[in-house]
Amino acid sequence: MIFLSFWFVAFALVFLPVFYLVRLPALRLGVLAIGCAVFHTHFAGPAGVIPIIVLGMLTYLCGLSRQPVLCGLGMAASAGALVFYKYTLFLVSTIVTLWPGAGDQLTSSSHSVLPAAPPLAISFFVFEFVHYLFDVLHGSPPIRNPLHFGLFAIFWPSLVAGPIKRYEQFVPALVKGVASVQGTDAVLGLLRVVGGMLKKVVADNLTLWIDDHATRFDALDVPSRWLFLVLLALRIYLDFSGYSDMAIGYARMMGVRLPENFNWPYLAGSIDDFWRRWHISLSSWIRDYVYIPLGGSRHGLGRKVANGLIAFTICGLWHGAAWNFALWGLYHGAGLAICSNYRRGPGRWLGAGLDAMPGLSHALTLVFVALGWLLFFYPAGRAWQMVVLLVGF
Amino acid sequence: MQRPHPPAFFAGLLCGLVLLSLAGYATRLVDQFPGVKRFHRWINPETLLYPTASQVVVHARNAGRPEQTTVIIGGSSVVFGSGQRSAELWSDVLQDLLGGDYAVVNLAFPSGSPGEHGSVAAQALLGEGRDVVYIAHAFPDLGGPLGNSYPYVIYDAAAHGYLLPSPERDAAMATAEGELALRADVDHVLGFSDLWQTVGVVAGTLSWQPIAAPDQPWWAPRRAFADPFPGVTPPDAPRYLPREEAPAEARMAQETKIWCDQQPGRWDAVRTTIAAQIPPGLRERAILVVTAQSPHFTRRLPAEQQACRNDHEREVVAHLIAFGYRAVLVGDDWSDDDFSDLVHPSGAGGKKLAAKIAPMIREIAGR
Repeated sequence: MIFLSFWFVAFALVFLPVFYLVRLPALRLGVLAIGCAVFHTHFAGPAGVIPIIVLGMLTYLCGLSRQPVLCGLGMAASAGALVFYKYTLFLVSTIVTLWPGAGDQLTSSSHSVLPAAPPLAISFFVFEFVHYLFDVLHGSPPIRNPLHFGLFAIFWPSLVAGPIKRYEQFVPALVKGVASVQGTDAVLGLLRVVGGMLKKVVADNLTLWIDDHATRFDALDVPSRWLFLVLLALRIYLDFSGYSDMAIGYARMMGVRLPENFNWPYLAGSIDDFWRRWHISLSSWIRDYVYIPLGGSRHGLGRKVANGLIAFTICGLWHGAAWNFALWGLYHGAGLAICSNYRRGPGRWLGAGLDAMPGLSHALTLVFVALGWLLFFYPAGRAWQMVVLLVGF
Repeated sequence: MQRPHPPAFFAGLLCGLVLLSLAGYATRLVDQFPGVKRFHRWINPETLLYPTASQVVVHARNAGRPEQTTVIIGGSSVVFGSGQRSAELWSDVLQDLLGGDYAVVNLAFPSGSPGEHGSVAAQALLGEGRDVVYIAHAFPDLGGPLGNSYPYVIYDAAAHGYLLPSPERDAAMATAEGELALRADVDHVLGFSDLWQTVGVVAGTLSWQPIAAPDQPWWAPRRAFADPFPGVTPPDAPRYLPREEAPAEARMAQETKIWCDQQPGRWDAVRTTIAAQIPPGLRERAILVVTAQSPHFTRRLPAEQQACRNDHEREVVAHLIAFGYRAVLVGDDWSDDDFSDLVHPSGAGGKKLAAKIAPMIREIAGR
């Protein structure tokens, strides 16, 4: 957890005072850029920085050109880099499962070309670069100032785990915030950071409990298994939203407003409401850059459902290179497909009933989401076993 | 929400930080473990409590009077007393044998190494001019230059200036990952580990952990938790449990392979590791204990492997002596009853260990 490392504490204790002491906005941007570069280099290492520099420069230049072919190539390069670094071994293992004869050669070849780990935060970089080129291609003005683009690319508070930024909001917020940061920004930002840290402390404790009870889930009684499910859902919310809080808080300390990433997701009354509240920056990215370009809901019910399933499968796979993540995405895609279409025809009576009982609607949504977390964290077979055990079999 | 007043906020933050730091410093002056005979599971990292360097130094300092020779025990579960209940602890037997001129304090930790808590306290007290003898279980749980499981205490001690000079240890710390060192330096100034661990001991803890005590909730202050193995081992208590058979045999097989197929240059690495963990300034006051393993298991090995292992244990002792340390092999002539499992002395074995070590301690202390 980068924000809880002592290197980061030392970094912040040096960076923030210098940032505040430098009064000239242009110089402050320069200090911020240096800070971002130091942060990224320390945590990513040279092997992790170089691919991002290459992709970033390519994205910047392609964006400046505004040429459809170049923008398309830029997007393809970014997406290709993500697939290469993050999904090669996953694809290889899938091929090997289907075609064992290819096994040793393919696996050893893959290991020989891949680095030990993918570049830090490559999922976030690629999504932001793709968003950038897509929007430029569709008429948004490109970022001309290379410093602004560089800061968009490697803004240290959101570099590691989001929120995923939109450059049209971020760059103006950056320029305005850096120029006019106030003491109240520092206070409110720090309070937000502390709130995030407290969430992380609770999440870490829950992790110990969950890891311990996961090994003996089968031996637990049914109420304890449901408690496990509740705490599993609570843990991921606190862990992820805590990190987002810290990222948003640190940005706020510099006067920069990042988009909110969570909006009380477990208060959602339906699955589509849940996805308007959970990891908002990702779900909106998936909607804008996968679902809508695929056609969204513009080509009939069948295409709408298919597009949703594809979009959410990609959303699932973005979280991790394993089939259980894809299944989790598909699970939510299916849930969304049902949720957004069941009111047609006879389903409208069910819909009316749920509207009259918002508590039931809320409970069903919570159960759906919580069961989905089993698929997120455990292999599909094990997740199914746990569901069966939850209902007492 | 009311608009915050930044100067007041940050002034308050700074005051709070200073006060908490002062509280942390204050906790370093008090023994948080009075009367503790060993750092049992409820007051060791097994249950997420991490006694700091300052805490073990104060505990060792308070264990005896300045005019006594403080005998500090360090290392792994073998000398911690796993396999011995609290009323048959070998370190208490040692205390009885040595008498009132000595104060024995057991700072060994399960999975510990000779360079960790015990060595830290021994070096600190020696640096203060106290008369110290350090008993370290050196083999087969030596670990690396920065210990085995608890390097944090070495970094913590280094930041506080407790450690005696050791170029080997400094070299290892210079090449190791810097986060622990940075943490220790910040902690030395802010005192948060001492404060937080003290809160856990005296007031309660927020860290859930899976080992449940029979009589205390997990959040209770650790001071309220008793040694989980009180009393003495009943005569009819089972030892050499069936569930230990397979792991013990696997461990023996692995060790035999390593010990009997020695790599060239291995002894250089051992010399460096020992010098890092027990620096030259402590060498003259240290006894390195090499322990054999239970014949209940070792007799199952082919004769040549048994001989090879026996030779290796003697070779370890010979090399440690050649490196300038006092070293002794213990347990090579023990029976099954002197062990509680493959490696840990039983109450009976603990008595033999104490009896073998006591004369060496008296020789060093000169009384």
